[in-house]
Amino acid sequence: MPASELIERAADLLSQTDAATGGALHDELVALERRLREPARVAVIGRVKAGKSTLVNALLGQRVAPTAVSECTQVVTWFHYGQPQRVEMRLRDGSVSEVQLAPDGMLPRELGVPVAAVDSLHVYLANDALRSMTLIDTPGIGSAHVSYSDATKGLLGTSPGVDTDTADATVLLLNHTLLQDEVDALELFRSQAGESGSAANAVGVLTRVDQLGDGRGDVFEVAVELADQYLDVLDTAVAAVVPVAGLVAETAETASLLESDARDLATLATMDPTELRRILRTPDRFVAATAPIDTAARERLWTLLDRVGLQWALAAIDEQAHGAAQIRKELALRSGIADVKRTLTQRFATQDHVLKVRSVLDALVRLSYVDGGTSAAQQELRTAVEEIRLDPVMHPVAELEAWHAICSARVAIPDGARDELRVLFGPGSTPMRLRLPSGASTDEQRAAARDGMSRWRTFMVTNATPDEARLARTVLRSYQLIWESLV
Amino acid sequence: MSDAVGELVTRVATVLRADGRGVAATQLEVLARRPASDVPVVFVVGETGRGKSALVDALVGHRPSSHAALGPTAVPIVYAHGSAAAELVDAAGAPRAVALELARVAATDAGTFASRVKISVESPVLEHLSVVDTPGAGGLDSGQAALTLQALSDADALVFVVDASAPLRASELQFLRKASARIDTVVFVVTKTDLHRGWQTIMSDDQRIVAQQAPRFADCPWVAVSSQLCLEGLDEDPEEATALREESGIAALESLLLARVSERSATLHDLNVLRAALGQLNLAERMLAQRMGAGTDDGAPADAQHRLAADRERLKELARDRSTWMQTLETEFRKLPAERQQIIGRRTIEIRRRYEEQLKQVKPADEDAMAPALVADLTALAGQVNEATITRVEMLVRSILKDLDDPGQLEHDIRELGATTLDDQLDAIHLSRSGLSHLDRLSIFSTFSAGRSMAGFASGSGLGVTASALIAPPIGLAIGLGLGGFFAFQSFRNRRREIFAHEFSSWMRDQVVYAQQTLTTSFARDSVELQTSIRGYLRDILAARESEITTVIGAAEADARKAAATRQTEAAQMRHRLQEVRAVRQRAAALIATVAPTDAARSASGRPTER
Repeated sequence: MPASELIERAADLLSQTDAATGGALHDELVALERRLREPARVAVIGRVKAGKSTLVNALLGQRVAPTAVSECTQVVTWFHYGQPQRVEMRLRDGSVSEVQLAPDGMLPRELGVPVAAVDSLHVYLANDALRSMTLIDTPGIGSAHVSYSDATKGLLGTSPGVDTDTADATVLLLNHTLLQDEVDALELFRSQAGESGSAANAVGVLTRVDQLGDGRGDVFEVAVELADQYLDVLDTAVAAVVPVAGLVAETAETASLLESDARDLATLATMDPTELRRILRTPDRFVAATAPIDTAARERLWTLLDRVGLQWALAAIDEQAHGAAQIRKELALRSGIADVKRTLTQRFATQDHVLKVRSVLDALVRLSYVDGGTSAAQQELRTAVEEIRLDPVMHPVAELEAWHAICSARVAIPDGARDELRVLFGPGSTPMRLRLPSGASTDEQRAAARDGMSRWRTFMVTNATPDEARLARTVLRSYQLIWESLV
Repeated sequence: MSDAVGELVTRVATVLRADGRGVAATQLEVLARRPASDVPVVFVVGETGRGKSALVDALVGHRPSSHAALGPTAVPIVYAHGSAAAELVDAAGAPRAVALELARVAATDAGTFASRVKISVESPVLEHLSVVDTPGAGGLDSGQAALTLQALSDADALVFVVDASAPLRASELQFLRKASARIDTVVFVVTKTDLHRGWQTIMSDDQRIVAQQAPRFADCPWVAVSSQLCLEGLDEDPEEATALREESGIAALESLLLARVSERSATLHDLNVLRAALGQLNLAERMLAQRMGAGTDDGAPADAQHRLAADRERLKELARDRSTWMQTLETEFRKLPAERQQIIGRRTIEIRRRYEEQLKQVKPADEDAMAPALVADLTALAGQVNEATITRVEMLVRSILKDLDDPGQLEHDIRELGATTLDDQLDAIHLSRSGLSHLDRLSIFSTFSAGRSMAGFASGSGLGVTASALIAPPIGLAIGLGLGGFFAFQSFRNRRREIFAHEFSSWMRDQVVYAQQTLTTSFARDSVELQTSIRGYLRDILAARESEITTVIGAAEADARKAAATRQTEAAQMRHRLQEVRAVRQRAAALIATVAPTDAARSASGRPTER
């Protein structure tokens, strides 16, 4: 499905609507059009100190978001692709002013205005990671400082009326325990605009894997196991759960580990292994110990890497890694960040146009109900949205919605169908979507598509509930479209 | 109980009786006569995943075979002194011996029939105090918090656990406030200092948050620990073990607890009695002072009377049918069933789906566990739903109380009137005949968890009378579910494996439908009653307050009509009584200061300030 075609079709509808409503909704429509042209918006949510800013920095490969020990992310911060590099501060009174990045390239610690007056920060960076998605760093869920949490709720779409500033997808940061308010926050996202959030557009990232286990075994093994357990619990809410050692990933990806740090690590590696293990047990010991490198260097290393990162780095040196670049590479590899990036690309970047168009269509439907929604123009708008949803170009949107219905358990489907549809609705080549080997012949593919059509036709006529029938129609259509593409 | 406290209680009771408040006097005497528990009980509480279990392990010096593999604690674990042994105690209170290494695993299994786990180990700490590791708050099984709260009412001290990974969360603060409503000794512990380099910053942030948002606890001690470090010492020689215990901060926590709790278990009981006495005295003083203010010759008596009369008018107005608070109450109550139904509908679908999935791949060995697990889930759901409702009702009543009058006073009155409903309810279902301890009660509520939030409401919020209307049905429901589930489960065992899946799904449907119906209809029926009783209750309070004022005004008017000489005699009598009340109150405050120097300041000043 050519992405551009989908986007253009939605853009056409926006301009038609503008004409039909005589410019009454011009501002909202322009905002929606802009939204179509921008990358999808991915909000990073999680509890206080879950490692949201750390992950954002790691994904950007650039330390921009502040990650102090204390609660610091108090304002919703958007990271857009853009030049020149700049930071816009939007205040609640509607005014916009510019903020300077600190000399180290980080966001400034102080904004010069009370935090409560700030609506959001918008950081524009010429950073390739932002070409495919706009990242949104949010204040923590469940903070003792209530206002921070409210800011996040607003972003997730609880403010009334038409909100053009909501996210298209979410990354939920999970820690070593799952808390009710985290699940509630996802629910909130799910209820945004009625039905648009679900496993279809949310993934979980298990951060701070250093908290797992008792500090002796391989923390990553524990993390993988825990991630699987979380997916079991949250499978209607997130599509995947990926573990990552956030701090290590940040340090490696942002090249914060310097040549001098590598030298310090190498010196440290010459210590007696038993003594080294002993002082690595607690940060207090590590800083206070007698060691061949000075206290400041040790403090810096722990801050950069934590215990797990230090252990990995020392292991890498044991395995003949030389210099900062090699150590960073090794750390990045072990941190699991590559998996996070791959998952985000797979789930969001390649589905980006579908997610955006869906958000825009939802926003249009909401617009069509403003002030009672009885005007002729509004009724026409709803009809137009319905029509566009039926267009083959828009079928991925229908698939996304169907998937959502399944994920939110509104529709019961036959055995094994969940897996079938996960693949069918997913990204991938035609044989892959049909669950055939990649070398399958066209005839085999057509046969598989035909088979799918007949199975779902049967399901449609034998299952009478409207939700199920609607789902079956969507699946049938998916197979039909595949079949047509093979003729 | 010390003689000084006994003597004070007698004096307070006399003063109260002179005021015509005999019921309060008797209650105080009963409280004072109740014996202090032998070994003080320390409850370790906090949000899920903060490291409570590891902390308890470190403190008692007992480590389970594999900690990392254990899930969150699902039922309370009671640690007592004795030769190494463990038992699982079921809902009926029957113990079953179990291997020590299995005990902890059993405590993490929410589907287990054990409602608490008791572990005895030889440990120097346990000679002086008993430690209870509790299920964490804030996790996906949110009913756990209420469950823990219920058991806390008789705890001697709380260890409130937070960790060094992140600052205190709003939900933790809320839990702290509820948990410590009746407990004087709270110790904060910051765990996992071995993981987080910034633990000191986090700790001082936490202290600041507590000082700002829960000032009652501003003076409580804080200890930072690394449980892991201490536990590692168990594998080392004794000398190294002691050094590690020292370094980990566990030793500091131990001596703090011993000093604060163990050596003062009798004192703590005294303290509780004294605080109760102080509350009554504050009330008596207020009434007397008001009456004197209304009748006094010096100053501006007319003004004072005028103010009181205005107050009375306001209260009358509020008691009338057209008052807005009644509408608020009604409107809000109308919303409740829909909210409940929505939660119930969504959650039961989730539960059913989950079990249907599970049924497809279930191994024969796991079949036995499915029925109890489903029952546990449904029971927990009932608990969650009730919890949500109760929170709403509680907030509602609080908001109304705020509008009515000095909220502290009204809450106090409510508390006094609604003291012991929970035990009555338990009596009614034949569970407390054998003399339930707070742990027994906790056990009952952890198995029949639907009742727990009601209980928490009754004991924790001070709104006992009003909540009592709702207590009975959920307990009944929970028992119905629990036992029904149990018997059905037993019957499965006798059937052939092949038809298990079929049997199970139809049984499950029945259970789910039953749970849905019961939760919906029982509430519809009881909400009317609850609403009526809340309304009647609020009216009673208004009326009581109003008649209090009327008496004061009447007495003052009568005074004015009397001869100057008589007036002076009576005024002198009242002054005398007031002096007596003040003297006793000072004595109580002074006693509190001697038994608990650090807690004295806030206790003497009356109610906690963060309300």
